[in-house]
Amino acid sequence: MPDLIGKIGLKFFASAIASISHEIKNRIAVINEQAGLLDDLLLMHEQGRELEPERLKRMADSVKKQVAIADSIIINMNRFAHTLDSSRKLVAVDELIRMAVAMATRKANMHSVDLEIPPSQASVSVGTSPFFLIHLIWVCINAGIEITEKNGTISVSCEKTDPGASLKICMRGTNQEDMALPEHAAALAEFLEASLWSDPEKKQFIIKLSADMGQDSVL
Amino acid sequence: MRVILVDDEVEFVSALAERLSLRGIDADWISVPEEAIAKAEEECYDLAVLDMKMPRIGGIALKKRLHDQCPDMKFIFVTGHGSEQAFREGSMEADYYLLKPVQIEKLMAKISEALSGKPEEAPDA
Repeated sequence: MPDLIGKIGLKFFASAIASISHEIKNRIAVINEQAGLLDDLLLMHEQGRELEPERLKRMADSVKKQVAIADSIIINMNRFAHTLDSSRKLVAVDELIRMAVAMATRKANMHSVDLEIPPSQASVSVGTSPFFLIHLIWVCINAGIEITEKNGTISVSCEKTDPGASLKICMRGTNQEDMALPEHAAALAEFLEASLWSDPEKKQFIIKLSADMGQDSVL
Repeated sequence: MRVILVDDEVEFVSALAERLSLRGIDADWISVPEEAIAKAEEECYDLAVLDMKMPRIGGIALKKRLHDQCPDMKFIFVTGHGSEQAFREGSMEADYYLLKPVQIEKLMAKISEALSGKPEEAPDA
């Protein structure tokens, strides 16, 4: 089992980093075009064309906006990398949900699907492997995106249970009866000592976490 | 020479189109891929610069639709995706394939190469 989840974990890590680097590249591409356009306008100014201060301000605002987006992507990437610091620790599940949603947003956008986290989400902590839990949440969101139709929404929520936490990945805008998850989702759930199942009627995946996954599963 | 640029990043595609216009190219831009199909129904462009990864309809699928409408149209793909697979797909499907961030001199050289059919040396950036 550790071999299997080690392999799929590495694959997940690699694909997440590839997706994040793509996102950063897009921000750099916008900044590059704004800088290039500024160069062009300055060159034309030297040849007598008037510079419009309002135009320059808009370009500066655009660059600042892209820098802020890139910064938040990098903060997320850093937090994601640090989920591997400890095989098992007390983690805020709502924080991991936010991270998984941020990581799945690009794919959701490509499918014209919205991802949402209910605003009243309470903070819930459990003792678990942060890396493999975020992996499992991400697998469920991805499976949800695949079966959700254009303009549908996937809501990812968690609530405290006694003991532990319950996560729901709920699809609005799907008629799919087949809500199968990839095989490795079950392996991840088993490793996390969690229960995982799909509810085709309510169109949702449910992950039930115990309060503490214990030491046996530590890789 | 009429060129259309299609990319879902408005601030990227609008700035790139303006930079091409400043270099004497009649360039339109669109951030919703489906609108490019509608636009090509009205008139055929000489060349399209397409982002490979866009919501709902990717660059490769869009290229096929545009090619059906305008068989003489030339294509250049741009992408932030530097993977081997993306390179293979992009190179197979379009006349040229460029990585973001785009060097304007390289893009200008590829546009002129695609339209003239003759290779050109891009000046050093």
